[in-house]
Amino acid sequence: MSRRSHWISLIVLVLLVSLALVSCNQSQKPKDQSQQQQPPSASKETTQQPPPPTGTTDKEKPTTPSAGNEQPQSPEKKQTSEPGKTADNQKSCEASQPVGITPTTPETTAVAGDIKNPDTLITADISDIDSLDPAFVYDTSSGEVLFHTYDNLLAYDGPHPDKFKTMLATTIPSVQNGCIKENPDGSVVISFPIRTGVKFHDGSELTPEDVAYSFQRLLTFDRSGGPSWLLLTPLLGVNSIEDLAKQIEAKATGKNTKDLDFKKLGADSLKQACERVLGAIQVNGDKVEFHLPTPFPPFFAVIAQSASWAAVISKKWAIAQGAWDGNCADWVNYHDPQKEKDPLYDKINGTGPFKLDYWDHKTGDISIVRNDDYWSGPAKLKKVIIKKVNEWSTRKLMLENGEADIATVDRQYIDQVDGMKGVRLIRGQIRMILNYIFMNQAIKAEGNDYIGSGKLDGNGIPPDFFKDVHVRRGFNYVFDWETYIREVQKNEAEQAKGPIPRGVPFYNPEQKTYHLDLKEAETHFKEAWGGKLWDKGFKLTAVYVSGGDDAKSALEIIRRNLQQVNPKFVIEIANVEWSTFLSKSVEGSMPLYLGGWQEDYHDAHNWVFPVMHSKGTYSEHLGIGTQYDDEMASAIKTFDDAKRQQVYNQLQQQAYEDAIAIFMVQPLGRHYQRRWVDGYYYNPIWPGRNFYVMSKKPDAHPNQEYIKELNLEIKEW
Amino acid sequence: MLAYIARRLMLLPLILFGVTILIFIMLQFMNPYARLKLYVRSPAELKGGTDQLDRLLVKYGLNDPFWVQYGHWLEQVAQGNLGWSETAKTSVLDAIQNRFPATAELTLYAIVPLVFFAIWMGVAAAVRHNLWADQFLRFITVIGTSLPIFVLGLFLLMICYGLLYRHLPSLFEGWFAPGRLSEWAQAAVRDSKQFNSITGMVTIDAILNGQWRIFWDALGHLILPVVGLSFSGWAYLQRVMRSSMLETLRQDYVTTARAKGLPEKRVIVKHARRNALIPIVTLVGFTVIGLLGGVIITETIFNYPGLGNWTAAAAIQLDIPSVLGYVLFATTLLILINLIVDLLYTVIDPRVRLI
Repeated sequence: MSRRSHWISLIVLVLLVSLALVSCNQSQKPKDQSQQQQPPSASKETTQQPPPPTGTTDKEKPTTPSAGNEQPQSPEKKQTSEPGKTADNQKSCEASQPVGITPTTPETTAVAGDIKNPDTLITADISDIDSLDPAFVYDTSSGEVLFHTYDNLLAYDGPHPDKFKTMLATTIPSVQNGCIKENPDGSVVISFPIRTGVKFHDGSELTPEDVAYSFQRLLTFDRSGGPSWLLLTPLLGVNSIEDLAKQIEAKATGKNTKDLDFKKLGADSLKQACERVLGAIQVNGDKVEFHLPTPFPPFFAVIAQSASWAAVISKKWAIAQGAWDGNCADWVNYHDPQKEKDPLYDKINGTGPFKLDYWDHKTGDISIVRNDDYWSGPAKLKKVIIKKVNEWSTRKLMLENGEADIATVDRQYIDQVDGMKGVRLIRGQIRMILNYIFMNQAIKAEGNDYIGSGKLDGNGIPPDFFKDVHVRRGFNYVFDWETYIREVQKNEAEQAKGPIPRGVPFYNPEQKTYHLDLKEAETHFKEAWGGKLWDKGFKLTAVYVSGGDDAKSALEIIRRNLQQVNPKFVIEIANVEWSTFLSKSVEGSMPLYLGGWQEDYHDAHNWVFPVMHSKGTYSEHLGIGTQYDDEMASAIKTFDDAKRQQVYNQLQQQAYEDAIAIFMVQPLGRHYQRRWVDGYYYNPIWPGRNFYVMSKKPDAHPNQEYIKELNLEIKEW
Repeated sequence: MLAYIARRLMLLPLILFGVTILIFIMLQFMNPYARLKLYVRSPAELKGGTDQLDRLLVKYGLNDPFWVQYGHWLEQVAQGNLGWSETAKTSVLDAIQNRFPATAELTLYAIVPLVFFAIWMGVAAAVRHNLWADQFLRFITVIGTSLPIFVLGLFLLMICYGLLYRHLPSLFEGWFAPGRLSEWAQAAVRDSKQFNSITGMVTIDAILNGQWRIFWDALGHLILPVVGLSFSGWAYLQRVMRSSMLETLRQDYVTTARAKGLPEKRVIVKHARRNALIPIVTLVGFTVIGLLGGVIITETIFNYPGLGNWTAAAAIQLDIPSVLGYVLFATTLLILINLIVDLLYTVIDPRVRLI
């Protein structure tokens, strides 16, 4: 009897396993490669990491400058495929009648039999919305929501991260149209005529006061770790309004700013700091003026759409919710609040094409619905739901079943989606991200296990080990980009040519780069430390954050090649939690570690500063010093593009010669969607996808014009 | 008995104090910068300069001595405020209130089949000791105990949501899908004019509102997590019930009952099963605590918005207010359910006295 029961159980089990395997195979097996479109000269294959799919391919020459008085000379009159959006550029700095406000009738989405939720687009993501207050938000997931619900003064033109068109402003300012004025003292005034007839979601009308208030609130709000510095720097020359208030107090009292505690500053200093903010952004009739102490070429890039911090909110509404009322007497009460005390934390009242429907704190899902009164014409989709689905298998099945129209696919799972019936892949999207391996030239030695003995005796390294340029060059020569890109990045990345990635203005495509050359590495290591390094050898611990398998593989490549160069060169690899990594990077105790950067605004300055400036996010803790600071300062204070190109070329060359880091790769992205999603295209500067241009219909296809222009590859199954 | 209950309940604040202070002490072994992980998730968030970290330390008081930090927290709790949950993006109290009904609903549906089948099959296996039914059940329970819930959960998801739902959509519309409700049902539940949320448990609220479509939809979403949870919990409980029953059946009083000529069914149900239930009651207590505390893997796989998902994320992200709030809640739950279990002993076995 017992034997029989075993057999019965076994048969049941086998049946269950077979069913599961059939299910797996159905999702993995490419059933129908019905269409494969591969534009000529497609770039290398791509990848998608958890962040929102972004990326474009790029021209083979440096892109045009992003802003400045040259920018408006290429007025982007081109009519984009976005409904109702026009790229208008006035001849003079005057407000015009609203252009492109003719609301288009929402296109009736064809309800095909098998299109699920034809008017609603659902995404299955791993996003985590942080806040909905534009002054607070500094992450791409929240930024994507604000991107659709608020408007900015300017927008990007189609897929181009370096071309602007008007949005809430009616003119792109330039010297020629009189909207940019350079004063004899070197200061600059940029005026934006504000569009009329635009309504907020609550029905109230947009005024220039709303625009000015939005920016003034951003600067005084200045939450720690937030985005306010992006405008505080060009407008007031400080990273934080606290620093500004301290500077004012220091000037008045003769004290050193470092000795001052912001919480104990005098009321006068605080008030003056606020008045400086109000002075920097002023309403002048129907225009809003920004007063910059010096030219700041990327200013448009800092405020254009995708910059959630520069979104325009309704002043009256914000005050009614309990936000700052614009009075300089009590701005401190609204400065740097904890999230729960921010009155706009979970509310939205913008002028954007979508309105907030709900933000479900239980599930993390957020839903936005169409704003039928959108000044530039309503969106085609009625509703967009961004669902938080952490488990990959669930996301996959949702995409497969059509319950999700778009899903986030981590690179390790792409094999499970490629070939999925009814799904489209768009790949080759250049992403504005760089990965580096940093070599710390001033390691904190005290209590540091990562540097062994702390001496050049073969059992450790001295704190200034990487100060010697030959050591840094040697490390660059032992890194094998080809293997790393092929094996680890699955050909979905390209070698970085320096601190400025491809696609960013002032990138130098001709810049020399390092490559794997163990002979060259040997030569440099022999020269390092007067030849002592070669004889003694060294031992250090390289660090990466737990879960970063790519990072581990990169360090493994270095370790293996160093051993080939000289068996006395020993690297141990340690993984640490992000929390530990954070404290160690601030301490400056890690000798060799990995890092990355994603741009805030599309300009070379945002790329060289963090890794080359003495106050840069990374370079501050790498002992690089002030040697490049002056060059950077000269490039950011001029509108002369030729001069800027020259300086940035020089900086890229110096980064190469001084081997300040191992500039690893610039990843490429992929995007998966159901084939019934129409109108998709992509701009690398957007925080995520653009639902305004999308719809769902049976004969759907991405925006062909832009996809072709960007050399993206499409596969459909 | 009342004195016993009062004594047990009086211990509660003391235990809560001990547990929370222990967590605060443990935090002191951590560098304050490391604790900023909750507010700074990547180097990219330090673009305004790393001096932002120092501002954050001051803002959240992470540099303060531990008794100051604990004092602030205690003061807050005394005012009924458990703090802010960065993970749930809401207050800790709201996070618990929002999620607990979902977890309680899952527990309610899982515990009934779990206990019922465990007792029934445990008794059946013991009575048919070493016969084929016993062997078959042993085989199934071995699978149940050794099959991790994440494997079983994915397996169920692939078969039911991946195969049945996809290929027979008209038959299984709204069933087996991840989450708690379909989109249309969620919209209806969110509309306070249409739906009055009373308990937070959707199926029960749907009945109370007379919204049967919502009830069926919620039930359809509950099937897979309930089956997954019941199967893995059931197997262990069934093994214990079987062993306990076997031991009881060997007792003299059972032999006496049989010798007296009582029918076998009466011997098993009245004399043996009741006595064999004592260890099961203890285990069911722990199972309920485990389920009510949140089931991380099940909730993650089925995208079910319960306590487990939130707590795990909070612990990983060093979201200390959330962890502390959860600890307060879970400890209270543990003590109350243990108390109920103790009281149940007296019902099952009249010889037990609570002193």
